[in-house]
Amino acid sequence: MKWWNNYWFRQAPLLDLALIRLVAVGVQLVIVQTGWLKLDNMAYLSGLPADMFSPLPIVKMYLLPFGSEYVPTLQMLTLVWWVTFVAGIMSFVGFRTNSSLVVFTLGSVFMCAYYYSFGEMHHPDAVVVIALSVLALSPSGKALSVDSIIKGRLARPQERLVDRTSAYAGWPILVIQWFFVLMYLSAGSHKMLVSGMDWMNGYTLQYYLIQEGLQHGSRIGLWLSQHHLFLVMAQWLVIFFQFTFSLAVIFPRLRWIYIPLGLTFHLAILLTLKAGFLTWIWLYAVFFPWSRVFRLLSDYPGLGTDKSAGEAA
Amino acid sequence: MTRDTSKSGITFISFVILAILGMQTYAVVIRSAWYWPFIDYPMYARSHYEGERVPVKYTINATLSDNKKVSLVHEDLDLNDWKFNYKFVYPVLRNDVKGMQELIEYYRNRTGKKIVRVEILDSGYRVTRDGLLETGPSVLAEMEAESARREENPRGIEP
Repeated sequence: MKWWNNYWFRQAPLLDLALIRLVAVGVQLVIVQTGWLKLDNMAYLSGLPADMFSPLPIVKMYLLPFGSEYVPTLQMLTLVWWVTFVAGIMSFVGFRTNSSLVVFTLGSVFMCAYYYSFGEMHHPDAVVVIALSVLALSPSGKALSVDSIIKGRLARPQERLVDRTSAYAGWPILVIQWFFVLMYLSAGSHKMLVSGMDWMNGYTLQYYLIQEGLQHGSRIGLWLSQHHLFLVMAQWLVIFFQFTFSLAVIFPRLRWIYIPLGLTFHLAILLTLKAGFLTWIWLYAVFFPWSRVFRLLSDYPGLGTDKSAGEAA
Repeated sequence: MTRDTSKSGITFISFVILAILGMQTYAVVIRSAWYWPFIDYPMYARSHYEGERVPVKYTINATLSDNKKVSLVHEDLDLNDWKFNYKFVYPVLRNDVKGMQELIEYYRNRTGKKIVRVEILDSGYRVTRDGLLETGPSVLAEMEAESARREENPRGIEP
């Protein structure tokens, strides 16, 4: 299994992993604090009729100790929310990073799944809790964290942050990248299985642009819905992108094409369809070679630190 | 193995990798969201055609037992549009008896009044090659509370 270890456990920069921790935790904290998982929404859900609560299997697992018919009370939800929020802050600053990430992930999974147990299901969030769960099992707190200030600096003070690596620092990023591949593959294959080649007829996207444009007041969406031929081409491009996104993971050079294309794609649907895939946009950070860029910048004369200073020390 | 890895660590993480990607692949294959956070992604998958009606916002026109008529949109029932549609509108459009009964029950609990008949109206938009065409609201479905009750208890035996 040498190829397996070489792929998933090759030395990778800790800085990249730490930045992904900041992004994933930061995004989820915003959702918990001000987004759809805010405390007011938990209170609203707990006030809905009990027959609207149809718990997902994962919620049933969480509630198993309380009995199969148990419906979470507002007091319980409030407690879970606060514990999750505090764990999120600790995860973000990187204090007791792994433990706090485990608690933040468990709390986030419960609150998301509880929200979705009322018949409503959205798609941008699953990848965030998957990202949090893999980060919780990784050395994501070994850089850009309180933990690293306490431990890491004392151990290897002369080593530059961009040069610090671990064999466990790469796999979480690769898992999230492959998760993106599977999400896009699912989206593309659904279109083909449900609609076949008819999906790219132009009217499909016109329909959604009109629907979402009117529902959410998107003038740009309504304007775009008048351009039939352009939308036919856009739909072909969407299908091509979704079915071939794996190439961006297999051949990293292709990211220079796929990532701007994907960002354009998600920003366009955010502006026109008002479909908030902001979490995906932020998590595109897993495709960016952060430490390589920072290393280039710090090695560039006049920018950053002088490498020889550390060596001389 | 390198200086910072162990065999047990690599075995455990390998299991986690396989479990996560395996579960997600399974969700994609069975096309289900039941095992959240391992879900499929069917967004905007259905194709649409020229001239098709575009539902933007549904209205439920309800006739009450005192013959009064009320128009209900999702805000009136303190639900967001998603819950309103999935809980009440789509079941009535499917002629689903249970959904109709739940609507009657929900409305009675909130207002103390009984719904005897409902109509579902859309907003009246269609898609054309040049974009939006406004045609005016039309009734998509109607359902009597009495028929819903009969289907639940087809022999007509009072409980």
